[in-house]
Amino acid sequence: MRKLLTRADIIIVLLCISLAILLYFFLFGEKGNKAKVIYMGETVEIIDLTDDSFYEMHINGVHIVRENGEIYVKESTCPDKLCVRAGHLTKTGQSAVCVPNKVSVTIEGKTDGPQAVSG
Amino acid sequence: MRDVKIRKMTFLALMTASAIVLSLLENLIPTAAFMPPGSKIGLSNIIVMFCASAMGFAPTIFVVIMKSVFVMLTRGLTAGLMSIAGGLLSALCLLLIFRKMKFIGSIGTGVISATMHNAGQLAVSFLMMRTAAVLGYFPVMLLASVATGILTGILFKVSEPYLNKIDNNLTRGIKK
Repeated sequence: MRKLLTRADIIIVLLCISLAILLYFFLFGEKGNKAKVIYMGETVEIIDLTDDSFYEMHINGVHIVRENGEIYVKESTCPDKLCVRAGHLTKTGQSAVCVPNKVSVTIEGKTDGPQAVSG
Repeated sequence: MRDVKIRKMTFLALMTASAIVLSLLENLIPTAAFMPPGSKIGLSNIIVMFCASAMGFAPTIFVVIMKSVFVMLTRGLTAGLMSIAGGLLSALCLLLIFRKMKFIGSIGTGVISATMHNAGQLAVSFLMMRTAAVLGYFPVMLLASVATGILTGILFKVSEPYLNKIDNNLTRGIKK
């Protein structure tokens, strides 16, 4: 039987936490100005977030809403509703992903961040 | 000797059933407010950890696959595929840890297994979505797996003697 906590464990935990913090700063930027809607790997629509008016779209059972310059998934037919629970997106790099429906919304800025490499 | 086989099979069936019941039970536990949506504690990982430590390669993979089949039947194909990818990756790491890396404790084992489970799930969602958007979930997932990994690691340490007792009672007198 092994010990509950060893020195290696503490290093593992600290490594994971620091990697998470590093990735957080690397992936997420400031307030983005457009939202890219991707369906099955293809960009289907780019929504302008500088526009404050109401806008909504439906794609493969996912209901995407733009309100006050923020974008969110209002409703989805998927079982887990993780995309809905991702909440309102504002910062570049933030995304709401619905794997069962193969739809994702990602915020991008003026300058293309690391997300620009996406297929 | 047939008796030995039956006893081992019984224990494996018991472990598989426990893994499935635990994964079903944790669906009933609401996600804590500070945890990201959809994150689970991974209680059935405790069983997989025990299998990896006491039963060897084939039984561990069997439990993981049976659990994923159950997830596929109850929560859909996507959840099932993510479960199988995460489960297999985490099980392989667990087998490696229990065979070769004696310096890692229960908490470290739990954290690595939870992290790998999430990494496997992310890999599947990346393949299905074909967009790097899924990467945005990674930092939060990593923090969540540290928390759930510590919890399952402690729970594993607590439950290991009892599971061992059942194992020994069932397969008494059998040289492993």
